[in-house]
Amino acid sequence: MMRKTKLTLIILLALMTSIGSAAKGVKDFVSVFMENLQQSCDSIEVKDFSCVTVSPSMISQLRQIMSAEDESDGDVEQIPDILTHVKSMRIFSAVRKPEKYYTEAVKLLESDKKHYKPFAGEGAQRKSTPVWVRKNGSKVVEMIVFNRTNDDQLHIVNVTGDMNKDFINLLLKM
Amino acid sequence: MDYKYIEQLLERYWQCLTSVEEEQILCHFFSQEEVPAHLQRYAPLFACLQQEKKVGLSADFDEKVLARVETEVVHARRNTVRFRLLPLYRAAAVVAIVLGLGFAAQHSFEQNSEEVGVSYNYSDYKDTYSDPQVAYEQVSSALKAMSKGLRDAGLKQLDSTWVKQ
Repeated sequence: MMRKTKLTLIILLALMTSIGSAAKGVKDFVSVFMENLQQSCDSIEVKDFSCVTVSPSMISQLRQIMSAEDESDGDVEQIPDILTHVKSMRIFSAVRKPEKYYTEAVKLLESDKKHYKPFAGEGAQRKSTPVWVRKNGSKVVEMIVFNRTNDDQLHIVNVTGDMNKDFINLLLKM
Repeated sequence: MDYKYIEQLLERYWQCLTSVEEEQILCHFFSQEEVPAHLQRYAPLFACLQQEKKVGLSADFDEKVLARVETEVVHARRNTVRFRLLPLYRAAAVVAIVLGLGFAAQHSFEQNSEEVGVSYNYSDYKDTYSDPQVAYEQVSSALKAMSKGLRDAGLKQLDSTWVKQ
């Protein structure tokens, strides 16, 4: 009888732990995207893309450094204020086959419509918007921005944090 | 005095032919103070017999024996309805706990338009560049790319209602 009770308690504890651990630790979009790409490694070469990660601790360091420095460049002035809304950043860059990776990324976003929504200004087409957001209640906690450079490279900037209107307005001023 | 009768009784006694009354006669004879010398040697035997007769069962002998022999009476406990249903209550409690955990998990993973409690696992984040200067350059160009992307999305300066989109 004691043995059965112990076993039951152990099972319940394991269940609660797994649920607890699963409930935490949400991954950002680029992490998931990279995992998907790694899994389908037959058709994709590692040299095609790269990913730069800037952790919360590095963001914090940059904020402190930028706040201490005295720069006259207009863009730089806003960066410390912008970084107050940023927790982390990942930058996915595709140097080859950018169209392929763009399609894959948008496909992944569209498959997760319940988390990620396209974001565009009034009157703009949401279908082709380069900006996607993830909300937590009334807050935007993650933002994904697609950018095609002149030399035909694709950059996906994935930012987590608290993206409120001040953040957007500061970015728009850059 | 002629003790022939006693001697005859003794002969019969050794042959186990004496009746109870004849044995009593012998016991009575040897319990006297004056016993002939040639019969003195038999006196202790009949005295012992007299002694043995005094030994008997006590009044509470029956009770003692019965107390040891009889098995303890165990009165059966009455199983109340509540006692009988106890295993069912336990099973119901376990099911309730499991279902509750299941619903809680489902709620936390439920995908709807407004998520609650999104928490990123930042412990997995490993900086690509340990040099803040290099990291800053990456961040700076990324933010500029974001700015361009926001403008391409048709965004202009926002008011507080933008989140509702």
